[in-house]
Amino acid sequence: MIRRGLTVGLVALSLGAVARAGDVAGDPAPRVRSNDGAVASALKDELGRSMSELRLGDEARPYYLGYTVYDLDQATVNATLGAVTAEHAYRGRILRTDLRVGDPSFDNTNFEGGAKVETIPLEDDYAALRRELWLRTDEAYKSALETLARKRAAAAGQAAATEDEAAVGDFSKEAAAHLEVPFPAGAADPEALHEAARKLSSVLADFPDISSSRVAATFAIVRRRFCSSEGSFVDDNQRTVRIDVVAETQAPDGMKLKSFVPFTALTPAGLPPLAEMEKSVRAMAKELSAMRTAPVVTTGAGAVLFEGLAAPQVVKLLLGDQIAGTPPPRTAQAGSDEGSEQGALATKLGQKVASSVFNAVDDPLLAQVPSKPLYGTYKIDDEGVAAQKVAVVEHGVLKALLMSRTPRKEITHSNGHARAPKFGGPRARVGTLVVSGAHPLARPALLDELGKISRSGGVTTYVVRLLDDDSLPGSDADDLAALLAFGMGSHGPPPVRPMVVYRLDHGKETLVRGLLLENLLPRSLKDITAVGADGVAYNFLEGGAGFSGVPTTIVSPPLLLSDVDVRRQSGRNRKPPLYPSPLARH
Amino acid sequence: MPSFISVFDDPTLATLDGVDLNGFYRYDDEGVDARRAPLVDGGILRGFLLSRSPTRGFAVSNGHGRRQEGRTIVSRQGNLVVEPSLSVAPEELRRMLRAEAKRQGKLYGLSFRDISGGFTNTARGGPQAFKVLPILVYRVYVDGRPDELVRGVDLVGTPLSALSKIMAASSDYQTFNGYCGAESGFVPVSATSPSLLVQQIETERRDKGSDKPPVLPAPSINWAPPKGAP
Repeated sequence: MIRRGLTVGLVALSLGAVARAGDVAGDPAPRVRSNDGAVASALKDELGRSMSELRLGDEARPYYLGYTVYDLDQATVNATLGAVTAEHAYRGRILRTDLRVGDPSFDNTNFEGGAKVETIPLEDDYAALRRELWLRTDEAYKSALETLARKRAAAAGQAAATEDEAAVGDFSKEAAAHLEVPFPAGAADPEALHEAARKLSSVLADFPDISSSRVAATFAIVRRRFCSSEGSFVDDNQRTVRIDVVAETQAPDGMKLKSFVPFTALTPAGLPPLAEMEKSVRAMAKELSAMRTAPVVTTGAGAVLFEGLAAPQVVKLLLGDQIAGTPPPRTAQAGSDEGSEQGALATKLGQKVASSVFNAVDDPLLAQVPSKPLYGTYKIDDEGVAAQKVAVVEHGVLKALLMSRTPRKEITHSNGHARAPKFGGPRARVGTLVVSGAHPLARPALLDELGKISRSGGVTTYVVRLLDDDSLPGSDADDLAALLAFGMGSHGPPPVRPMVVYRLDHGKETLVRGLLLENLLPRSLKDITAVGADGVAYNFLEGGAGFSGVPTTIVSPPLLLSDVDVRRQSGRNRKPPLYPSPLARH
Repeated sequence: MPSFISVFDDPTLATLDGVDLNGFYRYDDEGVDARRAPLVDGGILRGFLLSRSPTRGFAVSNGHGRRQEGRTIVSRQGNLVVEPSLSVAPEELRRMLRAEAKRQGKLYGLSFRDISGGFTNTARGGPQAFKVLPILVYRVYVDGRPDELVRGVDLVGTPLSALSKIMAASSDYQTFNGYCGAESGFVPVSATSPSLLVQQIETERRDKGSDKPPVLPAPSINWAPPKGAP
């Protein structure tokens, strides 16, 4: 009885509100009620109340409270051979609550426990939002008190390193941020992706040697509202479009082969012309078909020119993932605190980490050029700090790290690189990382360099144009198992699998297959002997697909690594299909 | 079960007393036509829900092979109906509850009016026990004072012993429409039964948790949109 009464009340309330919104606008009632003022007011009002009144007994009040609300809008269309295989539209809203007790020199963060992220009402309803903010803040406050007590107890029992940590603190002081960017009209509509998904996937129907293929197209719009007790207010948005065209086949000896082409833009209208994309897909499919009968490489010493997308891909692996300065969180266990969150290069500040021809800058403030969209540009980071250009590597020496507001001994302030996947917490990550060479060489000169290495003897030379990407849709389980098996028994990092490789013999490029690159480590940056001239931008979503990931860009010119261990893929393969593809024309 | 209780499962019923039934289907997920399966007749177990996996003594499916998309088929409930051959008016059932509580020397009996769900462990080797999670429970006092709403009571027990203690059924039927989860996933089902008076059933105090209520009161929700806003 009680429940029935309540339901009727709520229905009446929402009907009333919809009618009112419709009356004022003079248009039909929108599908979801929208009122920016309600969201901003709910955030500011509950934040104000929590900072002035929230207190449990004699416990500490919060000293900092930050709310981040993300409005998520995403369309996905998948297609194979010209037919749509799946279509999905999603709208949602989530809240990240960052509540801190203690003080900036020692608070509840930088310890165990992750970010507090919850789903909250999608409609701009002040009362519904206030209620969620109230409950989520209450939970975050109680949990913060508990964590702080545990962290104090852990710190009291640990002898080493505490002096340094106390001196460095947990939360750097930074200026408040103000940014309000008008939210552009228009939603993420799957219709905008249909034509591209259908047409690009149908190109692959002309290649009977390709056994499977798929196109995954995603358009994500994320509106961010950030509001903190330090007086910051940010209302901005980010749009990303990515289309991956993936194709797989098998060589007659059973070796699995795969290739892909990604297209990225900020809106569907910003994608390259369809004819141009079709041309790229056709070229990829032709190359993959030819790969079936290409010779298999032999194990040995190699010199590799990474060009095209392979250059930014290898930079991500060797540098991008390694330059975060956010220290590893303190743990309750005694022993090593060298957590995986800290980049491998974080302890090498001021040291030589790459060859002297190598420079790298992370600049989230780079201007957008319509023909070359950059995912990783932003003005304010996910902790409300203004983005800064950071010269990371100069002439091979590590000059700086990417920093969030979690300080480290050597760098005590943020440089605006705190970035968060939507369902996680912020930590320092790449924005737009741009690599350049001290003495850039044109392609013929790079090939000459490779030729010289080859002539000195004992080294095989390769040109790698594309590496595997673990974020690709529909990874083959067999394939993954095989890759894991390749890694077994060796002590180094997992091998890197190039997808498109040419062997360079006396100036002649031959398509080859079955190559694995071993022992590629951050220290391999020291083996870069030459850097090319024109940078290629790779846009990707780090830490999650679609709206959930962190939009990131790495730009790199071709890179020549003079010493790379090359291994021939081994292991057992399944036999190719018993019958030829039904698409084969006889 | 007492001899006045019969139970059957009939997926071919689309409605019962004007209520749409969730477990209605014409063919099961093995393509076998759905049919009424007599389960308990006059208190005696007579049959099972059957799929095309035969079991000793039951070689033929009765159209209850069901599954959630993508799962493996198992014999499952459709529309389960409890049908007593003898029933009393609801007021009479209440009177009988008070009388039985008094006879057992208790201050009150319990009336369960709504539950959120429950589960039964019937795996071989495991305890053959069930737990029901009630939402709305009243004490019905022997001395005739008004019913009292109570909270935090769960029902526990073993199915065969609990079923054997059914004393009476009333003439008021209620249908539960929902989804039942088991080895073959969630399938839409219904269960229809009159109110049942059970002589004895074990109750358990529910863990109430130790979370404090929110520190601040609920926020005021009186808010006017800024001028000029839609």
